[in-house]
Amino acid sequence: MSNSSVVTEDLSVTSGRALREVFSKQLKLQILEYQVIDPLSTFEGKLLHSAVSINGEKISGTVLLQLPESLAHQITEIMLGAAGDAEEIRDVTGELCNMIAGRVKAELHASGFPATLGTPTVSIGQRIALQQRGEAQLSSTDWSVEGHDTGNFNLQVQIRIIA
Amino acid sequence: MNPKILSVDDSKTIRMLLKRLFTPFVCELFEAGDGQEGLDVATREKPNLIILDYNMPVMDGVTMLRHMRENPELKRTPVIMLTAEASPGIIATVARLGVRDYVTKPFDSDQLMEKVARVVALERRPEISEA
Amino acid sequence: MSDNNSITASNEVSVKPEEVSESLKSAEVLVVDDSRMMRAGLTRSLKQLGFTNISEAVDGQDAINKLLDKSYDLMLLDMEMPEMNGMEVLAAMNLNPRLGGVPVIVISGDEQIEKAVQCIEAGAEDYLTKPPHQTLLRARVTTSLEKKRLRDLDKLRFAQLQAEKELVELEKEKSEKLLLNILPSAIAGRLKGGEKTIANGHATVSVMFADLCGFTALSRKTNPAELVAMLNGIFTAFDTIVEKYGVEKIKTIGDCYMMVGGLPIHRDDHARVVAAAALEMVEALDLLNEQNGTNLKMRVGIHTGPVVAGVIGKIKFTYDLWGDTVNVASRMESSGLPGMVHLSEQTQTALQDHFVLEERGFVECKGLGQVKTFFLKGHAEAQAGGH
Repeated sequence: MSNSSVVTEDLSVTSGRALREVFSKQLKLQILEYQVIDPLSTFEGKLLHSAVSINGEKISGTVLLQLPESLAHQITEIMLGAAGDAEEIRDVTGELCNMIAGRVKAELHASGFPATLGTPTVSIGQRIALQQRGEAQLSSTDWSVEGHDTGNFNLQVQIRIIA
Repeated sequence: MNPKILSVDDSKTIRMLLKRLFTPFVCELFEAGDGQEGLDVATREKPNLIILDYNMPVMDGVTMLRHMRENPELKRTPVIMLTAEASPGIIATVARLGVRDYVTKPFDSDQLMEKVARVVALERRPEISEA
Repeated sequence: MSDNNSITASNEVSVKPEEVSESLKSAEVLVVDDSRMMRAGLTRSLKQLGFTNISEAVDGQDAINKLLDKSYDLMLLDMEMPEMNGMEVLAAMNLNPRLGGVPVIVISGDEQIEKAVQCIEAGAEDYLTKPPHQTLLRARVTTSLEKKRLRDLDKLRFAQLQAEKELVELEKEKSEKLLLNILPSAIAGRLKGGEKTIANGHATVSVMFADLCGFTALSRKTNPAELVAMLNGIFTAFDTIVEKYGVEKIKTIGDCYMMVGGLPIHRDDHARVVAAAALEMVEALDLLNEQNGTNLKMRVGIHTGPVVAGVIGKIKFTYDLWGDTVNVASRMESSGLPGMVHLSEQTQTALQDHFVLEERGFVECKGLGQVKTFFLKGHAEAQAGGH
């Protein structure tokens, strides 16, 4: 009854699709995949991280979105129609990650892995990386927003089969 | 009397976004952060439309809908679901409880407003010039 | 020497019920009982009814394990079992969403009817007493399986509807560009002129206008408050009919009611539902006349064709329709007769032979020229004529 291969090969495709859908539909922004040579040297300044956990009978995982502060500002302005304060920028980042996780969850559900989402947590700081847990599938992709030079952002999705 | 719109979502971002979408129009906007609060506000204000999320603490959207359908005052209140939840099972359950439309997140604001227009006739505020 | 007049040894009436219908025979059934004899008996009964996929579980835990392992269509569950009884199995099923959706028929001994009732309150669908009578078994099992099949179809239909909806959105985007080219230039101009619009083109819908005649005459005899109440009553009755047929009310303009079939999502039977709703609206008005002691009549017009639908406009943010189709539908109404549903040839084609129609003649319509029109007499099945 092994469906693990379905989760594996599609995870970066799935996460890319989810990201594109959220950015184009909700924010009307086009994004491009970006090859990061050295992750640690890419970002100066702070990043907003938002994580949402995915939990189901057969799977457990996390969706992590990291945005440069300036990009988070811009996205907040698009969503709310005006510049937002620190709290609003955090809320928007969390909601964005929630929507992305929602799309990832929908695809997992369609592949036979139903799950529920946790509440988004938001933090601020340097770039972080999800620790690969055992047999988990992990996808990490970097992106830039077309026409915006606010810096690149990162999306990581980790899914572990637990049953 | 001005149309009343109630948005029920635990995400402050979504509530603020909806507020922004409705600001250009003549209407009264109300908010609730969960299904229980949603019921309280709906009972008090008798809104012309409820925009309802599914995943919320305390009481989720479907439970709130069920309660509404059992309440003669709220039974006919039109509801548009706005949620990240897209599983066919939930959609079927919600459809059986009778909602006017079901919008999944992420969503196109224009399309949402078109659906709103089908349910509630709104007028633009005169001081708002073309956006 | 055998006696041909011998009485049957058994007192039981051995009537063997028919096998269940073909579509149900392949249902996955799980029989749960700690008694090997009972399990064997139930399995045998089920096999006699034609079932081919029968599994057995020897106790509550075994049942849960099997439910997690495979998708079952029905479970027959013994109440009294050691370690984990029927009630506890049901409780476990309620806690685990993955176990939901499997109908359970509880099997109980006579003296435990109360427990059986508790089980039903805990989610079981039905109960049978031990050992189940073959005819009753057949009836209860068939009912549960049919209900499950309908629920599954329902879920599938809505999932398909959602997928279809997304497909239609894509199609709409494609056809929109095409339609904007054939719209009257006035509308096209407004759309291109930068007015805030959220509009889409729809290739084929059916539009209906219903206009109350005799209202002006009535307004001379009745006070305004009563008039408004009367009008509200009529339009509320129409609203209920609109909801019933799944068509979309667009607006009311004074004593005129406008609705459309085929929006927001296209449906192949758009003309049929609009026609059926229109007929029911005419009946509803007659009923209200009786109740109110009035003699209101209405003209109803229906036309089928493409429209642009959405929100266009600087001040009014309401959903509306534009295009020649709307104008022709309105013309069908104004050139119609009181008490009659007047429709165009385009609608007649869309109705096919589901309705009885009477040719009316030709009506001149701007943009389309001479349009052949019909009166809608009733549903095709109706033998005795209506009004």
